[in-house]
Amino acid sequence: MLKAYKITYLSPTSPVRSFTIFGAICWSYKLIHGEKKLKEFLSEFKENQKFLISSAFPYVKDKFLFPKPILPIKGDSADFKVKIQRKDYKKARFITLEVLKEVIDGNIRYEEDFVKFKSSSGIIQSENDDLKIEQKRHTQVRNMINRITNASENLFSIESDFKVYDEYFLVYFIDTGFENEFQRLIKLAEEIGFGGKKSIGWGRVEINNLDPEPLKELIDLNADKFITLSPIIPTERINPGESYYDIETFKSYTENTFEEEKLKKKVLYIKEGSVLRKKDTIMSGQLKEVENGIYQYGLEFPIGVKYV
Amino acid sequence: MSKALKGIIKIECKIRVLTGLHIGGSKENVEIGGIDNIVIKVPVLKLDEAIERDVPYIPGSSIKGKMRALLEWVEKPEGSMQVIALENKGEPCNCGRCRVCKLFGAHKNAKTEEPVRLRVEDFYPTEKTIDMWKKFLDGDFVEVKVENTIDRIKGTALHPRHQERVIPFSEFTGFIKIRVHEGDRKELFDTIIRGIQLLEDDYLGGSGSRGYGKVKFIKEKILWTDYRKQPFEEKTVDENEIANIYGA
Ligand SMILES: [Zn+2]
Repeated sequence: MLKAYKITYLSPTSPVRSFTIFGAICWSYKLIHGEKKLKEFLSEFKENQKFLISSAFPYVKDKFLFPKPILPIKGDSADFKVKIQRKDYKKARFITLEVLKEVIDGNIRYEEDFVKFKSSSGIIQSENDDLKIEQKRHTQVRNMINRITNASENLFSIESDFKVYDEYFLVYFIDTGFENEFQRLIKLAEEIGFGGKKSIGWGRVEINNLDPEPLKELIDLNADKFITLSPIIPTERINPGESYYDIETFKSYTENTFEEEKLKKKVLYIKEGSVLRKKDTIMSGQLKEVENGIYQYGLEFPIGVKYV
Repeated sequence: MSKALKGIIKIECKIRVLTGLHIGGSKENVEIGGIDNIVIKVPVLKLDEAIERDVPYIPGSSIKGKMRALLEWVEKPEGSMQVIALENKGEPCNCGRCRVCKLFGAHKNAKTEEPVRLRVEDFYPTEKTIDMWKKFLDGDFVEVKVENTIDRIKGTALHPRHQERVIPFSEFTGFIKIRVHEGDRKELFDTIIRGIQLLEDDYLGGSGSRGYGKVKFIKEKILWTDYRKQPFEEKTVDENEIANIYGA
């Protein structure tokens, strides 16, 4: 069962990706049930996933945006006019549902095919759409008050991008019985804050339910060809020769709200928007134990497509 | 960290500004001839119907920082006779065990088993306050005050300073959140209430010695969310029920 959640940003935040959300959920779980129960939950989850989580993407004027799928380029065989136009499309980061459907159906199979839509504000969208994503630079000044002299010391400022638009993320419940628990965990995560730098006021978010109806048909756990909406820690089930993907290495700190943070081991991710082919229909990502008892989330959130 | 979370107490507060408030938003003078002291502003404030831009707000970290500094003049570190401020020569406490450390966290990553209990959210102006600003400040949200130093001999003004400030009678709303862990005692809640009182008797933001930053906290309501319950339960409580929450 598919659920959609809207995030409204009330302060600067670090990027909200599937593993950020999963991390927040785990912290809530640990706070409510204790460390031992969390360990049990994670080792169970490693084998039998209760749910899948997507990263957060813009939700603008009641429209869901998706990461731009990574498609092959025609290159030299594309016509000259299209080649000139390519730059704008290359820079775009998101597409609308309408454009996504064309990709799913195979009407768009190359990067150059996007030119039948317009590209503006980093979004590939139809002529009638006028979607924009806006960020504002925000400066926070930090200091420490000297208890004796009452003077400000160590004055410094932190710059950040403040998202003016909302975002959404999706959760697909494989175990539908877990939905109520998830609701409680996400509510607690919202109270505590999302992502990094919470101690300086980052991560204030408001999370509300959204109607997932328009997206219901898109999610296909059994598809062997798919676009992922979450970064994947790959297993050998992915067929790299028949896939189009971007990779990144990621090194993160553990949650530091309650304990001293630890640097986690580096993991390799296939980025959101990658178009992948699996060798079978079994889950191709993994929940990876990066250190004893510390896991990194890396399962796919698959949108089935006709071609790769 | 082994103490399970029972729930979160949220104090919904209004902060009423009694004497002009200045919480600085820039580190240096932006440009010569510009405003010397700029009030911190949120780039975008979403209200029910509208969006306002560059609106003054009170960062939770400012409230928290000041409250902690004041509490450290009355609270003592574990096993000490002297208040924290004197014990630590002006630096925040890092014992990891006293009430201040339990609420605010130990300073500079001192090894501690104690989870941080306090989160002060940013406080944003009410719609009524924004309307008042627009009305009285010709569409602006802050007042620009020119402060002169008088040359005693010539009787002329020297180096005028331009200072932005939030005008008196402005009101901001927000939440003070206190996490309640297994084994916590009500004294933690009381410490926050004391911190609020100390803050009311002192000042918030800059230029306090010149009379700025007098504020009053108005407790609107207290909410308690019990996370041990499934589905979780959020309800309004009065101050007398706090003792039950802590299980005193
Ligand atoms: Zn201490």
